[in-house]
Amino acid sequence: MKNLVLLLVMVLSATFTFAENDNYTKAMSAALTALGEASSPDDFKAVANQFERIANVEKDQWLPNYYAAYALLINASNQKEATKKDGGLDAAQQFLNKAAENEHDKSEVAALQGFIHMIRIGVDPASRGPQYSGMSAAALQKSIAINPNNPRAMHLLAQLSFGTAQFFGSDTSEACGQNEAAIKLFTTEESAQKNDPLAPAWGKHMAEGFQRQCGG
Amino acid sequence: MKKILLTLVFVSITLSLIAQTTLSGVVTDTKGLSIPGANVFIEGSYDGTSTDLDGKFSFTTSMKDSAYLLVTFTGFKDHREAVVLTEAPMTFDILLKETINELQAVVITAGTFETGSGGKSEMLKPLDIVTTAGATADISGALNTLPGTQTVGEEGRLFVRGGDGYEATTFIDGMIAAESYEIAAPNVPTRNRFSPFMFSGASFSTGGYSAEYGQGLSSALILKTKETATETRTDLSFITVGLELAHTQSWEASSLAAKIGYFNLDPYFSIIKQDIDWVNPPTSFDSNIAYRKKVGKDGMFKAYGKLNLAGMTLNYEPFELSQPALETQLRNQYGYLNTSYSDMIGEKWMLRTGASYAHSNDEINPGTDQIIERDHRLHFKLAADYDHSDRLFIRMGGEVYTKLHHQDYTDGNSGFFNRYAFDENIISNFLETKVFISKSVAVLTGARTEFNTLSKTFSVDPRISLAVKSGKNSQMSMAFGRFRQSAPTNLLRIDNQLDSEMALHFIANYQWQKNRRTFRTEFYWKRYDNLISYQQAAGEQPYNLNNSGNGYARGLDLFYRDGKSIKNAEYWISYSFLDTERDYRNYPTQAAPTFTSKHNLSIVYKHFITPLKSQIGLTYSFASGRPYNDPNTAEFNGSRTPSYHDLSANISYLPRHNVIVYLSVTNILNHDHIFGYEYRSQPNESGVYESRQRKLPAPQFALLGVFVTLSKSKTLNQLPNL
Repeated sequence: MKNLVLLLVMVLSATFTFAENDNYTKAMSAALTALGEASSPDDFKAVANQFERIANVEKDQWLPNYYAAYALLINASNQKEATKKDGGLDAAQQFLNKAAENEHDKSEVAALQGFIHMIRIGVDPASRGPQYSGMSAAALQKSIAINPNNPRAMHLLAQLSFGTAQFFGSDTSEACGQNEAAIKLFTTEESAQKNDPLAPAWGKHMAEGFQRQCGG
Repeated sequence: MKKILLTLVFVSITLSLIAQTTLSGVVTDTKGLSIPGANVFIEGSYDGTSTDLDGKFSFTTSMKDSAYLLVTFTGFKDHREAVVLTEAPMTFDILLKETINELQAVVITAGTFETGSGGKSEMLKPLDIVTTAGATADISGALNTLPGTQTVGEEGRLFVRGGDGYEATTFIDGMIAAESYEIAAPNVPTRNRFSPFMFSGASFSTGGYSAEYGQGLSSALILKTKETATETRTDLSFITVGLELAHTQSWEASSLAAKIGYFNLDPYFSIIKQDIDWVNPPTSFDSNIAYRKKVGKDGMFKAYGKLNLAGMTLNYEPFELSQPALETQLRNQYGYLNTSYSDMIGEKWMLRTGASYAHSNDEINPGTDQIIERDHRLHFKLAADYDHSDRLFIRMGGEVYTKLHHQDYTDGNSGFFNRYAFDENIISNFLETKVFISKSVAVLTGARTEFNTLSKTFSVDPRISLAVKSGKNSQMSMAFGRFRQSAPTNLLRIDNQLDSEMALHFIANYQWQKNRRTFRTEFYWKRYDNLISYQQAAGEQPYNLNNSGNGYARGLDLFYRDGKSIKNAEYWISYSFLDTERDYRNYPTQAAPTFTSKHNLSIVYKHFITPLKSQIGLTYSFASGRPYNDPNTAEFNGSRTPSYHDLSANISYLPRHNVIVYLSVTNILNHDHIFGYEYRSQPNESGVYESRQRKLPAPQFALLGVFVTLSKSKTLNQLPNL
């Protein structure tokens, strides 16, 4: 009987744990779907809210905060007004900082950090370019150093190098080659068995769109 | 066993048949305007939604009984409300209160120009300090293009609103940076010892500044050093006047940067003729080291050290004494150490502490005579910032500032020896509170107490500022304060009893800012008291020193900056009107000092030409004639020099991503600059006092440099430094 009770407790707790995880996965999947469909600033804000709600419950997960940061970042990159852009990026940065407080994928967080710095440049390229391009490159290189197969970091770095090369009128082929490599990494990532179905997988369309600038 | 299974099934069914409660309502701000995009949810659950365009929301939750409804929105305080969920639909009218954040709140801007803050009071960007033509990468040079400053071409220091050069005090990370100017030959502008490369931001106050800063009668230049470097890099600089090598090593949470430089003006002076009879043109060796470490989550430790050795020898002809030229040697050793640490204690307290030490040793040998001046300056600070809420901030702290000084004079012929010396301690405390009455009204009140061990005086100086947002893009500020500074070293060492000099500042400021265009204007009125007066015979030491001097300064500053109207270009215009007179030092009556000019104008223009990969910069400076005393006339300081015009240009060319070629030329129109006249103390046979012009040894200065950066990432260059 004792054994039976023990077994029961174990089964029950397992079910609950599973149910909880399942809820998390379900909520995250729904939010990720909404993120994929978001187009207007309101959509992105709503999705960020959705991730924030999940983060509020799942205090030791890094992904909800990470995706909230990502949604706000994309939204900020679409903004035209400098103060709105900066405000959005500030909010994104806060979520990314929170994500980094938990056990997290260091390569992905560094890549998103590099992305935030890159969008900062756009606010005032003449005065911010020199500072933020360095910071962005440093973060992206750190990301690649941790995981050389991170396609997002690779693509963003290619984009950054392309801008620099274009500015100096030098050859952009190295940057374009890097982006091609990033696209290959995206393909590999898609076909690989994923440990975590919720792990960051964005960026392929961006990379493919960018490749057109390279004439590819 | 069966029973248990049954229970299990029952439990599962209950779990799936969860009751739902619908919550709906509207979210508005305190003005009744709806807030779209607010996050509304039940705490601890996924259940929630975002408000729609009308601020409305509706969602269902499976939570039961007591719970909390949470509403969050950026820029507003979180709203947390206890609810009891009973399946019955619930409606809410939720009012969110705005938080006062830096981006939107009114900022106290009276007297302050900021760089690198990114906020409303940011008038210059960090890059501007070094890309301003005519400034040749000197901090003071760039700040001299702002209103409130006076062009004093032969000095190179900051002269602010009728104040003398010594009245502007420099702070690095909150600590006094004493003796912050390099040595220079007569009539050659000095440079700030600290390279603008070091700093991430600066706050330049032309008056009315915070109670935390003392010992500056007219102005405080508050510099903030860079945080931990994120990238390992090596920088090489080849300049027409020297070489520099810098290396920065970056680790996860710390960085170490070192820079050494050697400068020698001999090659330059052999090409460009100077009106100085140089024996050994200026040479200097400079070394800097900076260590940064993040400690824990919020802690930051910074240490910075500098060692500088400089020397020069020239044949100097003292006009006044009509003696033959005397071979004069100047040597200076300067050491500076600055450490600071700041960390959060809990959520609301921030603790800051720092120590700085400056040592300067000057040795001047005119002929066989010897003058040695030694200075030790120690500064300790302990401060705490308390953020009570987003509406109340308190700042407090204590400081000890110690000056040990002596000057030894030895006459080479007679062996006569004289020492002037003093040891001074200033113990001070400050307390300041900032209250936001609303997002549009802020009041800063504070006071600074000082006890001076030398003059044995205790003082309390009030500081008050107020800011009101007057429109969507505009605001007004006012500031009032009393400021004091101990008597200048060269006088205090003669008479240790001298009291501090004092100034009262009243400032009213209006500022308008929109889309990278800024306009600001400031009226000010200053009253000087306790200024040091003395009597002095020509070529002799002052005597009868006392604090009976006084004076006033009043004026108007205008500033307009535009980064919008011209594509790829940015320009600013500064104009200052100054009316000032003093009765101090050896003045026989109240008169305008020789370093002041009524009208000052600067126009700074920068243009980036993408096809040429170059930035060009132009700076035009104008100053109306400065007073000088002509003993051939009756009126003291009654004569005026010709006005000052200077057009300077620079160009930065980026041939490769990591290489910059930089050329800077001052006074390209080769205008004749006369800063004043020196007169003999005795008239000649025909009863006329003879004079000679005070002017730069060369009317122009040119600098060519090549800057190379080696780093792992290929996007770095020294542009942020130039």
